[in-house]
Amino acid sequence: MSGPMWLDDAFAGVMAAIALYSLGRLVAARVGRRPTHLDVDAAHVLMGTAMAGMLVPSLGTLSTGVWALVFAALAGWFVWRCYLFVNQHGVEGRDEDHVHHLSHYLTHLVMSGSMLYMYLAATPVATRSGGGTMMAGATGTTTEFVGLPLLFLVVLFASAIWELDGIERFAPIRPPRAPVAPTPTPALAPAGAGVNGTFAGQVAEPGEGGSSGRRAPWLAPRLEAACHIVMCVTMGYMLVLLL
Amino acid sequence: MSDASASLSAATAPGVARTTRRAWARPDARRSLQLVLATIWLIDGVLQMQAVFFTRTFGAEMIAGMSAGNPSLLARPITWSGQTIGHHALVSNALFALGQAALGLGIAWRPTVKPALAASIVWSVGVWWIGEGLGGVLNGNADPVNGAPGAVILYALLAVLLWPVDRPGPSPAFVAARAVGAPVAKALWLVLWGSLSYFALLGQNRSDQGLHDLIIGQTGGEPGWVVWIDRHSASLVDHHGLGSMVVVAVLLAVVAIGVLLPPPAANATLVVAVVLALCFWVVGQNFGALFTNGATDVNSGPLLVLLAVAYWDRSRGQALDSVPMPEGA
Repeated sequence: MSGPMWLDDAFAGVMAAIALYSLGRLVAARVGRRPTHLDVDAAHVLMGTAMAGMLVPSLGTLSTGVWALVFAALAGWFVWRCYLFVNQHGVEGRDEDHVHHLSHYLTHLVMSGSMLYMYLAATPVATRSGGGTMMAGATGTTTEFVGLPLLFLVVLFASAIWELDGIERFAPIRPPRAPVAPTPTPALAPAGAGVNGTFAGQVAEPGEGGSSGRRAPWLAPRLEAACHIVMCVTMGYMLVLLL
Repeated sequence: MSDASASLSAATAPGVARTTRRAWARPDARRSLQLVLATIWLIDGVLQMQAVFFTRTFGAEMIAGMSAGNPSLLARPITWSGQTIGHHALVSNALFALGQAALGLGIAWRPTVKPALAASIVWSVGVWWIGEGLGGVLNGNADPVNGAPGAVILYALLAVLLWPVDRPGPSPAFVAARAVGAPVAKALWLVLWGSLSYFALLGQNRSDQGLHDLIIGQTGGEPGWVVWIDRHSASLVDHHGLGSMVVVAVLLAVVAIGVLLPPPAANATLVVAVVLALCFWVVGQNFGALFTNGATDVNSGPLLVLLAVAYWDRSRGQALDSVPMPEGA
């Protein structure tokens, strides 16, 4: 990018770490049979890897064209998810985790669109090192569409801010100290999940959850949210450089 | 967040014992406005990360240049700060960028909302003086069309009005009155918009070509469609600067006193305020010059809109406390 090198390096490092962590989430969810947003985690892996490569060319993995195809496909996937969500839960309904709304998928659709925009609009320039493609500001006809990245920027930052405001939704709900009912072994309780995987903002539906213990706890939802926030901020930074 | 956490929604699953901690509550009207403010702070922080601000030019020219026309007592610290920032461009701008982003994130995270809002007031007042030369208020260059009295002071005003405490007594009709009370909130609105009306008729702003030149003078570096808007807007006011600014001043004055009117009329003037703010933002401020790679903030337009929303009188609807706001993603 065309920002200060040390800042680009720092953001790239964070993105690479998030990509690795999200990959770990996918493995942990598979091995431990824990519910998580598989498509969101996969999107974070792809976006983290791609952004690290855009910020620091030596971390580049695939060519610009391939990445553009990947994010076009990802955008299509989230369009499909939005359609399914509205069909199943309505516009104001909640996801199967009882916390997320339609906006969860819309935001990831915007993130995919932002990645696609960056690959299509940014101009490849001489690489700083390695064989990757370094991105510079939009030029030519793309400069006439700067309203689009501004819109993306506002949506991403609003999403980051609202996610941070709501991050306590995922705080575990703990019972009082007096022994009221048997609780799971603390050592097995995951970060971010409460008793039987219950969160502060979670709305339980009749006949589910509770002491029956039928559902496995959600996989580290606060860390997923934190990754989302950091990713939105980083993507916003990259979009600002393309304005 | 006293208001958000006060209404405890017992969102426990069946069979789970009563919680020992406060449950998360959806943002109410004031919290939602705080989050919009936080979003703007975050945007400002990231804008500050643009490469141009890590150069000596930012401090030595952009900031030091703000001293022009100000009284020497106020101008000297501006010049000194500009030179100092210019000499330590990398460190100082990194601090500015991270500080503003931290303010946004601090307002968004409920445990730190009060410290972050308090810090934002201190920061805003400092930047208004050092970074914006008091918005041209004292040197006769203030023009509401291009952002007077300085966008950054509006952040401080919003932080005060959206402070997360409630005065004792019945719930006020609009959000801005919850922390400071209706009389103080109305007085602040009257001073702000009354001063904008006054600035509209200051010096150069009254000239026949003043508004035209202001609009045309900001087209540099903008994309073609923004230039197109500017040129057509400028042609509308060509040689009609005085008449145009008189109309603007009258409208601003109506908005100022509108807050004293009964709710339906007050809300009507708030709509006028929003329209004016958006016109200023699009034509006079070119969307905060966000497309020129030289913007440090979004300028005053969005903040004036946010203020107007905070004054929206909902006394004929539900009580403010009980209006659930939509959750985020």
